[in-house]
Amino acid sequence: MSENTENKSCVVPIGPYHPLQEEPEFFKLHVDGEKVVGIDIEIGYNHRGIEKISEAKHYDQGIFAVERICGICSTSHPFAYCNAVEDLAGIELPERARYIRTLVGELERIHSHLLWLGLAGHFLGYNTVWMWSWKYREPVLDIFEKISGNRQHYSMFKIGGVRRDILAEDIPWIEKELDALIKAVEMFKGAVMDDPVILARTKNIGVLTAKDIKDYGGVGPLARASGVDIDIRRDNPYAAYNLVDWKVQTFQGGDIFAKAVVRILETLESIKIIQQCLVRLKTVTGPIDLKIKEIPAGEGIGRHEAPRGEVFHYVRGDKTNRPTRHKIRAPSYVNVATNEKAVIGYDISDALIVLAAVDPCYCCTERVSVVDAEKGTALYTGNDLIRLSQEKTKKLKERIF
Amino acid sequence: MKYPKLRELKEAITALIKGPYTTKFPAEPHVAMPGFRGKPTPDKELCIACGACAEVCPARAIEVKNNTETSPKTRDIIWHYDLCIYCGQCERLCTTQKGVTLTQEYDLATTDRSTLYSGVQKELVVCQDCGEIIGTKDQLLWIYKKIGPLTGGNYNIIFTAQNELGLSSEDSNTKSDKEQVQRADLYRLLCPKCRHVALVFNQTGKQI
Repeated sequence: MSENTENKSCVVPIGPYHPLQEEPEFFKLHVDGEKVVGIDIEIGYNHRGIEKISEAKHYDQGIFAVERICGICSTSHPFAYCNAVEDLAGIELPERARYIRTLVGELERIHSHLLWLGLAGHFLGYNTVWMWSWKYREPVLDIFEKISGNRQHYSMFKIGGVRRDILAEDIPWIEKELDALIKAVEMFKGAVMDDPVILARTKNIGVLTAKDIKDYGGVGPLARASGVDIDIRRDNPYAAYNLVDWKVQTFQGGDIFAKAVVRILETLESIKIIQQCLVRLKTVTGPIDLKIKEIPAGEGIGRHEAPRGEVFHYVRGDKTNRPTRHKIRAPSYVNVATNEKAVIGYDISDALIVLAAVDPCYCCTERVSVVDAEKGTALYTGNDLIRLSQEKTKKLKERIF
Repeated sequence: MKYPKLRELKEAITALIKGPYTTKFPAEPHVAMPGFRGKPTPDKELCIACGACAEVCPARAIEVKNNTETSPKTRDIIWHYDLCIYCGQCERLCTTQKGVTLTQEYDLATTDRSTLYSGVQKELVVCQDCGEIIGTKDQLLWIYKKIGPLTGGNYNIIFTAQNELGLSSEDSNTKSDKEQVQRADLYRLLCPKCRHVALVFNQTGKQI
């Protein structure tokens, strides 16, 4: 991506160094007045060498290494990794383990989408949405604490099953919490779809057509919001996804609004899947894991539909207890590139929400600064950009009401 | 237009009546759920200091330290909480299954990093010839209790157990006269290397 050297345009660097968060990225926005005319995306900061670390760990320990790739989807990577190793070793999971895995994976999707919804609300200037959405995320984390022993980094997965069983006495409590969550998500669904200000801020902003998605290889809710009907859970079923009844949620439009709606509908769909899993867990008995003695030589691939899209893991073993090669492809890696299409031509106050709609970890906004290309002086800081975005909403509110 | 606002108004009023969702944490102590994976606490009695946990720890947070300079020689197993990822592998794969448990304690914040550890110290059993470590006393006793009569072939285990029961002492085994008993070394605590020297002869009776 070439540097924009026109004298008129300013450069807005966003990122990159935030060592605490998950996906540091660097966006350099070229702006002409208020309009974004170009974008440079640089990724690859914070290279942790997880693939190499994983090669030095046992198959059993590797799960903990890949779990720490991302703090938000901390079960997606173990899910894909376990799928890959089980593909390599030809392991058939016990039925009870399938349901528990599905349940953990879907709970994670709920909390991830609610987190995104809250952040999107914050960037749009709806701090109430932010607070409420994160408030209703808490019960999900409480469920995690109960069933896995931790709010993040659940350590539930192991090769050939899961580490912890879901106790029968916990199931009614989980069902009660989920019923309360459905009402809250329905409320958010109404709040997002009916509100004229949110409509004005998100409709026809950051549009990605189905062709753009296919050109850039976008995955996950981003692709489904543009009407591209892809979902690994349905296309290549694993765990218990072919044993429960659910639908892939798609939406037409490809703008921010469509992305928000797809995520909210997916949250409701996830609750539906979990409820079915809980019902089955009451009757399905049997072991939750298999005693795996040896992983043979060979190669295996594993995929999982993470909250942000398809996670891909490739593992090659040589009959020892460690993989000789482990390759990981995370969804944000492909999704971030679509910003090149989505952000150009829109206002700088919209840029923030467009970049956030991909649902990368948005730690980088804290490091935003707008720099005049000629003078090299800072025009805006990260907080200024959030303020810009929130002021635009305020102006729209005054105009609409 | 007015209808959706009513729905959100209901939520707002509910939130007003119910009060904040957040807990008053520093004022009121928070109790973690049962089964929470918190601070791993070793059991001073039931830990046998075998070091299996250090083998399986993904973060290498468990240190095995052999103090061969002290008398008696000891082994420390140290859990470093600053490196620990609280995965529970040490608890799950503990040899005795009771040596370490993950407690509900989560508030480990401190200003001094060097205090973030806890550990157990166990006495080592060493080779009487070369001083090589055989294992901890508790580990040999644990194996003795577990396999019972099957220990017959392993003098190290029998001798450690007899010492513990007071049936023999270390002195009685070290006094044996090499010139009178050809294989005096047989009745000593020996590492595999020294045992090989003591037991394996060639055809002419010469040790190899």
